[in-house]
Amino acid sequence: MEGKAAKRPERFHGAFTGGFSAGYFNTVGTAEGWAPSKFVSSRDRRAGGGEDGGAAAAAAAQQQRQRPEDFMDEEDGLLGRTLQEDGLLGRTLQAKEDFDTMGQTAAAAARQHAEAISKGSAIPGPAPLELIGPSSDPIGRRLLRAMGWREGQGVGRRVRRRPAAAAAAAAAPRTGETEGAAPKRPRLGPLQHLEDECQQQPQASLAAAGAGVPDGDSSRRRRQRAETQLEVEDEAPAAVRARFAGGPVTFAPDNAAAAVAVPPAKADAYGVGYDPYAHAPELAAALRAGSRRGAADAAAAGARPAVYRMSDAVRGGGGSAQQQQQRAPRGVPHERHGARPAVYRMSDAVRGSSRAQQRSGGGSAQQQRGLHGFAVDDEDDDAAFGDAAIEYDTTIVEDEVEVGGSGGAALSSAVAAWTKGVEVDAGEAAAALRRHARCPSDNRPPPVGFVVASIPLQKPTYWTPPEPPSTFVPRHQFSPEQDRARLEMVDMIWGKARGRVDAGQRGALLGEAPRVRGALLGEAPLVVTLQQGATAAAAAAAAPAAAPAAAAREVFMPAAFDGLKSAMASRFTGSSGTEAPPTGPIGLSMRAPKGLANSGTEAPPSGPIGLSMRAPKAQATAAQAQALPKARSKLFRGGEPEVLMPEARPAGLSTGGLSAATPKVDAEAEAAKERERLAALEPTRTVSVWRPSPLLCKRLNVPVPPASREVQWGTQAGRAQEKSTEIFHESIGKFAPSAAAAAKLPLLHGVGEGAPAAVTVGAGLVQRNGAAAAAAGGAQEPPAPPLDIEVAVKPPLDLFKRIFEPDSDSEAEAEAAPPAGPPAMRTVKGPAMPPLPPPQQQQQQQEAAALRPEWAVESAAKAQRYGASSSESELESDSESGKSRTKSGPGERRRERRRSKERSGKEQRRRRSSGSSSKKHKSESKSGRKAERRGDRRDERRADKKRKHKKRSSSRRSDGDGSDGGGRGVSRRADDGGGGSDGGGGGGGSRKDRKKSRHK
Amino acid sequence: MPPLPSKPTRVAKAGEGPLYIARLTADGKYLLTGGQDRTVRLWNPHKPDPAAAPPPPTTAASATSDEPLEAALMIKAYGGGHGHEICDLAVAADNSKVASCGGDRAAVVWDVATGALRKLPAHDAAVNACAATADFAVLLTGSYDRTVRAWDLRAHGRAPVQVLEGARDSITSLLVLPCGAIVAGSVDGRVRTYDARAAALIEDDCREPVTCVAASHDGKCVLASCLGSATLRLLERGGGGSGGGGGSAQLAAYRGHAHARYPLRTAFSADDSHVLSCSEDGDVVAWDLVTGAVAARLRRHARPTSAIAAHPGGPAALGYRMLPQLQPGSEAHVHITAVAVFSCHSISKPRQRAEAASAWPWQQRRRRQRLRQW
Repeated sequence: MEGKAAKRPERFHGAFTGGFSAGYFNTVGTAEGWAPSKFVSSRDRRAGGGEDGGAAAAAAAQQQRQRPEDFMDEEDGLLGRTLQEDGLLGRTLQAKEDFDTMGQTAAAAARQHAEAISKGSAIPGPAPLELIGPSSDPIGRRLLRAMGWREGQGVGRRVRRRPAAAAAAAAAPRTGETEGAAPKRPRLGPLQHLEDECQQQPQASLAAAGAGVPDGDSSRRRRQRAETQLEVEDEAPAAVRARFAGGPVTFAPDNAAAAVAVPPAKADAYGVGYDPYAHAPELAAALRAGSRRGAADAAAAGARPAVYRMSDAVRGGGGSAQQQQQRAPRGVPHERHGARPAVYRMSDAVRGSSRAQQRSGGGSAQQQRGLHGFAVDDEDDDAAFGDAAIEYDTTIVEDEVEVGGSGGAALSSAVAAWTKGVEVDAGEAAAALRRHARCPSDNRPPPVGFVVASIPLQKPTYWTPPEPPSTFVPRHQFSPEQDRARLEMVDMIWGKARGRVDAGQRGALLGEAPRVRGALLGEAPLVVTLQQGATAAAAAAAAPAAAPAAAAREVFMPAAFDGLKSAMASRFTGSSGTEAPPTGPIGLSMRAPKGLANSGTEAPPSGPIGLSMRAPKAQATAAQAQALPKARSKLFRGGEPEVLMPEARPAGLSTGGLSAATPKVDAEAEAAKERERLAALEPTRTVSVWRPSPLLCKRLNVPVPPASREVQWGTQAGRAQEKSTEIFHESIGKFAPSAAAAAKLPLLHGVGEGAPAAVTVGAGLVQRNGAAAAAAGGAQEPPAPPLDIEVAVKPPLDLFKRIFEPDSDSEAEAEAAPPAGPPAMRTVKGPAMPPLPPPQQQQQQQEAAALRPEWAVESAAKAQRYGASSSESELESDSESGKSRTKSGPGERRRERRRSKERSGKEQRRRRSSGSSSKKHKSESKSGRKAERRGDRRDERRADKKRKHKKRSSSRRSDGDGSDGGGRGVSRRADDGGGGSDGGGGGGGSRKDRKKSRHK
Repeated sequence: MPPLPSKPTRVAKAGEGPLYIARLTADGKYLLTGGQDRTVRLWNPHKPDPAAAPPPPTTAASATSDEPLEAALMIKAYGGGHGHEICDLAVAADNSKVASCGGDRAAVVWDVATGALRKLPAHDAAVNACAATADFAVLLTGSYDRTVRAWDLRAHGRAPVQVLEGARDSITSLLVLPCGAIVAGSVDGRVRTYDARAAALIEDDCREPVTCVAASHDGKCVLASCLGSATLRLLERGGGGSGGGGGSAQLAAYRGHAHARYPLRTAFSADDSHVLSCSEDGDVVAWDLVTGAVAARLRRHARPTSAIAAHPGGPAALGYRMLPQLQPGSEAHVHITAVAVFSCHSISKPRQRAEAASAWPWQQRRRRQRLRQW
């Protein structure tokens, strides 16, 4: 213990996480590291054993044996002092024998086992622990004994037992005396006479002995217990007690707490509770009589002619009597008892058997008898039988007697006759048996109070089945044509034609969807067998077989489904197949995900796929009709052959199946043709709305499009909004012919002949928005004319000026040269422009407009990312002051950095001292410009992070203005200006600061 | 126009299994490969491996070649990030980061210098394609689960920024253009362009599974490799469709290679003068962009070539490499392959693209800014 404290303080890391740390930070290592024990090979020890490696081998042997210390350290407390000094090392900790109540230690268990084996046990097999008393003398028992307890007694207050006769005689008057003292005293049983000598024992001697009954004579005590009325002794004065005739004798209480109900020993191979002779007592008796013991028993009890015993009749076997016999105390005269508690004591189980062994001498034989449920004890056989039968079955009989009167009476009379040795009347026995019969309906015992009737009350009535009409033929017969077609179809699919049809053909026969997808993927149909092994004859045989089979399928289709089928066929004809997807060979999966329609789903109906699929159909139908017998062509006439035929068929089947030409050639030709046709097809283009998330736009360096701003990103509703993109199935040209088509302007980032990309994009958006509004039934605002009309009015620039208060100081000059965009983008155009300001302001306005095109924003953002020059505020300075920033780059950056510091929360204080700080800053910038330049990039990156939210607003504003500045009259969302002013307002405070500092 | 390369110079032999993807860095100096061996390998294709035997006696790639090839120098192998094959790679413009994706439904972003990785639990199914912006701010992954997901690589969240839906079949190929457009090819036969700037989704229905999309260097055209009819379709990104109802954006089609089963990749040559594609017969086919005629057919591999990348360093420097090779007889088992690097010898100065009129102003400006910065 002190070692632990000396080494290092215990670390407590929480009660819920394990309390104190163990080892080295909860490892087995130490601060110096963990040193595993050395590996010592056992080779030397095994081989040498003797001379050459004596010490080493000994060390090895020692090392190899693992000891507890190997897994302990000093902090375990056991190793350093306790284990070694106490000498406990290497020993197992176990309870001392005194405290080992149940003999659980290994030694005790072994001893117990040996004893059990040598003695033999009442119960074969491994005895339950509860039944075997403690083998040693545990401390608990010694303590109890010191307190006056004797073995076999119960623990508790002593009770007084009164003679039954005396109690009966003095029932009325005694209540006043004794029960007056203890009025709640229960009466536990019928009062009977007590004849045990133990009763006469004076209490003084009992008290002196410390126990009521001598140890060992448990049978007597049991009888006492059964035959007396137990009363808890009260603390009445001695005078009161002395008035009792029997004397004030108290007894130890029953050992009822430890009573264990012991089931009959199981020695047969039947299931638990199963009695094979339950319903055949005669057979059981015969078996019993046939056995040797049974013969002897019959001889011994020759006076009694009964074939079977009443207990057997009642219980359905001999086991009960035997159990009772085994349970009954030996050497005790048997009387007629009342109900006995049907419980065993522990001591009964143990001592009774041993006593029986002693008495009979051949213990095992008797045990065997008992276990087999065969009651043949020589001396008390008769008495035991009579006694046991009544006793054991008392509860059942009484129960039944209470409920069912006559049966109970019969049984009791039978019992009485039995006990008197009179032969049992057969009728009575049968009646008694019937009471235990089971209901014939469900083989369950009848409800309580009911008896199974000997004569069934009512017979079930059976009705004869109705006569089928005389014309009824019990087997369905096809017409000859149907039959033949059916057989042909079956043959076609599964029989002779197997191997000559490929999967696609078979699928077509069975009405599966054609393998459009496979054809699209360039898969050749599975005509390998045709190509390789089959001859032309086989192909020719397969060809006509296909037609009747297909027709046969149609025969079975009721006309009622024709309409439905045609509807479904038209719906699914153009779609792709649902066959198993081909697996991509190089890890790239070409399979279609489940439940997906393929590309053919939306192919235009005039598309070549549909054409090619439908073209051979009429042909096939005609040929099929020819190939069919006449009787079936009649069927065709009645129905709708075009509908019934699978509409889309793989190319290989549609022609190859009907003509004599080999399908192989056709398939290949078709596939090649299909490939050519597909290659000749030009892709069609559709455009729909897709809303990129603002963050994605930001990361892609793209202004957030207006469509994305409508979505509430990050919310559930926004997610739904995002997904619900209106899809325009028309091509762009349909709704924007005048704009894009006439001008030959690309929709996105066009070639740029004088037209900035943003303009085109914006135009496209407007068009689409208008189309969407029109498509939505004019729910939104009426669609704007395609081009050159401004819907939203841009706020006058004075407003921005007033908000942002551009400084007229010439100190800060815009860094970037005028952007290299087309000149048109830099001229401000639009009906809502304010009157021209003075020249300097005009330049500012131009710059502000030049800011708006998105490329400018993008370039600024890029520049920001690359660290050359950056940030929204620079853009603002770009736009407002119109000064080049190149000259005062470092100073600007410096201010920039300072501004970012200001934003960190101490703005007011800084405002107060802004003048002085800016002065200081200027001097600094003069002195160490070069050094600053290095650090500036880092700072700007930091500032960049801080200003991310600002950047978004600025880009939004610049986006909106860019469309204006571009000169194309593009509608601008009304909230653009608001967003812009918001963003500007955010940066306004800092700009004021900057302005102040500049003026200083 | 310099002639197309005609013979391979070096071979890069990766580990077990075929290679599915090979990408050159933006400057063309390094090569990254990924394949069945779940390892991303970084090569210097321009240097021979000094440790290797000077001319390897026989290589797998030399089956159809006369002289053996010298081995390229492998710089580093990045393993442990993937539990399944690697299907696609994306490289940052500054070569600092590499993203890989593969069959284990995840995408991994590697730090090239340290090998540290960040794994994104990207999809519900195998991730077939990935692409990233040049600054590696956004990573896009396309998967068999029919979605394209955008990941913000500047944040550390585990949720995608956006899930681009709409595809009805597996996504096979992805592109991110500098203008903010995302191009995805899908097995459902569509080339989908998600234009973030215009908030538009443009679908070009090719009616055949699209296995690869590649963009021209000016970003105006997209080349879609269509399975089945074995056609490369050159689609105009911006135009098309707008010309009239039912119009098509197809500018040209290139045929002549074998493409029926495997997801072959395609590319533009460095100066956009040629269109290159792998072929299942082991060739690499080059077409003239304008005329559509087959300009060259580079035969090197006995088995299908899978990936191709054009060297950006100069018009003549055309590097391509590929070839997952199929074991003859057992199609399912694609086994070890070599990467042959065809390279012209002139890795000249950084490409000066003819960008006078068509270059975007912000590109110029950015470049200027960068130069000024340095």
